[in-house]
Amino acid sequence: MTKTNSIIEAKNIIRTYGQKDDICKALDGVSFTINKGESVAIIGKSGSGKSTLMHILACLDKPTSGELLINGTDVSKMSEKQQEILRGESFGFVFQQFFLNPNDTVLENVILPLKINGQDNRKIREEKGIKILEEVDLLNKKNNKAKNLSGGQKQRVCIARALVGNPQIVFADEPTGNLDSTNGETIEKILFGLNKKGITLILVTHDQELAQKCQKQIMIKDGKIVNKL
Amino acid sequence: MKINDIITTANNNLFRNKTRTILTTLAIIIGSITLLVAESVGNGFEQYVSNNLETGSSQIFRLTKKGADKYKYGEITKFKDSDQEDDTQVFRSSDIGYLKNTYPSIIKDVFYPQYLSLASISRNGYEKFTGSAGVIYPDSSAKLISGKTPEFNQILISQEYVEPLGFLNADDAVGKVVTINVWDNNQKTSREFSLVISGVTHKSESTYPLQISYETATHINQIVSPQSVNPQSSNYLQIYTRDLSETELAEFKEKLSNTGIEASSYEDQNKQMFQIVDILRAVMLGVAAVSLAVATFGIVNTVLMGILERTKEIGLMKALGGSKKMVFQLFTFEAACIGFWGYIFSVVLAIILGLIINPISHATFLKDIDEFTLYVLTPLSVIKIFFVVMAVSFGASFFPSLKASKLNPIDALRSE
Repeated sequence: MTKTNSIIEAKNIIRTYGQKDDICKALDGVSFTINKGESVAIIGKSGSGKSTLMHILACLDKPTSGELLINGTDVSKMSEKQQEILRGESFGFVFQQFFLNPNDTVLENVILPLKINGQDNRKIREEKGIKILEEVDLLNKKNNKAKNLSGGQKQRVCIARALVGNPQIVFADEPTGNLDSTNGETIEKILFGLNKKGITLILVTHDQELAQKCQKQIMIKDGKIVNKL
Repeated sequence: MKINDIITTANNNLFRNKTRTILTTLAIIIGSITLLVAESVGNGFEQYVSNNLETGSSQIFRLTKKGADKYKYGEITKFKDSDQEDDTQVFRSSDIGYLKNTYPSIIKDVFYPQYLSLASISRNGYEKFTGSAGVIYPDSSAKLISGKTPEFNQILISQEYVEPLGFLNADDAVGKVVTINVWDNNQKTSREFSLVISGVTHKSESTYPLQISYETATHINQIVSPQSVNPQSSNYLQIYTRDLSETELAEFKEKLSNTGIEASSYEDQNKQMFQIVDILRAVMLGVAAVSLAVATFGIVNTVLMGILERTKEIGLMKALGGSKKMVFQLFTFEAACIGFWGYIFSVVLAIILGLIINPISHATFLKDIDEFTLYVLTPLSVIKIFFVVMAVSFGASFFPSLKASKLNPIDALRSE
């Protein structure tokens, strides 16, 4: 076990695509540490490798080489099942494109992670969902279909869904990318509010202004960490 | 995901694309209905055949000579006087002695088949009715409503005679006296014989409505047409054997065959009927299998389309911690739900179809065969086909679902 306050430790992560002559290095030796409760921005231009990095950190993708420790455990030594449990119980995801099920109600969308992970019965799940919806101020929309919401509301549903499982880490991929400035500010406020409650926040963005609000910035260019973009 | 969540989610997913679900369900319904109809009609035939071949005895055999001209409908053969017929074609009285002496441990009795030429049947104070009478042999297992099989000077009547002859019911008829009129050889005069009713049988299409024992038939024929009791020659002989095991029977038949005699029991004759029914059933099930196969492709298509439409959703579920197994189950259960609902509809339709088909068939082409219920839907068939349909639905969705379960969450999430 490493230092108790580090939640993610990346050591020389390399991720390549293609084979032999046609190799493309998306990540080229990336190392850093993220501590518990930190807010971290992964910044970079389109195609810089920032999304690949987030996918690897979220155990959605495997590094070609390098070591990734989450809570001190080497991810490459975890079984597929253990990784699923990790994603389901310790991670929350907020996506730029929301990925809500348009024809399901807001509440159903929010409690989807609990259902997928087989937690609780329907009643308790709905109670938890309602509690979270209260926090994002969307309780009055709980029975509306997700497709009938505005962009900002959709993103709040997305955040509620990320939070319902009580995660340690929330990954947010361009959370304000599809929103106007007013809605963007609301979302930022909610996300940083979470961070204050002790949830580790990992933001992927190309928005310098948003990134500056985080405690730590990891700048990615051509698959490498740089000091300046 | 909990299993009940998977089932409800899979079932709810059916309503996502209603048109497609309805069309696939229709395909399943057509397939299942064909299967159910094929089974039911097969059941109908089987029931009819087995109900009507119940009077057969396993100890009575009909013997024919191999050299005998096999009668074919519509074919003309050269006429032969009885003295022109040779011993490879017909039986003579010497054959009876030969058979009795050669197989004393097997054959209990050998006799010429007896036929009665019946004019009418009546009861004192009631009208005369027509009828046909046959011989019932010792251990025949006639299905009796009341009474027992006839002994000497007794008669077994079918239930359709109970009311016309003025009896209250089957039990009332047993023990009463009836008179039969039997034609003389010349068919101009008839003679009366009084017989006691020994029992009442169910109505049957394949046996005589009136049945008397061999002794009674011989006795009557000796009076009305003596030559038929001891004919110069006969195309058939009947033998009554002791109860034989299968190997003994095969051996016995083989020995007879070597001496130019063919023996067939009621069972042998029935076997052919059952074979026909089996063939009929196989053909219809074949047709049904084809339509179910078509439905299978419908399911494959539906599941594939569903996966294509929901790639992102699958990606999301996997990102949120969903396992391969869960995704696989979601899609296979969805197909199973289509199969299940399709089958429920099919069974309802099959029941309704039975309510329509049977009255129509009885009113038209089966008018004269009351006993024949064309369409018999049994619970066993319904259960049997349920498993077939569910297996087909599951099987059809297996590979598409496997494909879905292997989807990479990042690819799905990147697609925008």
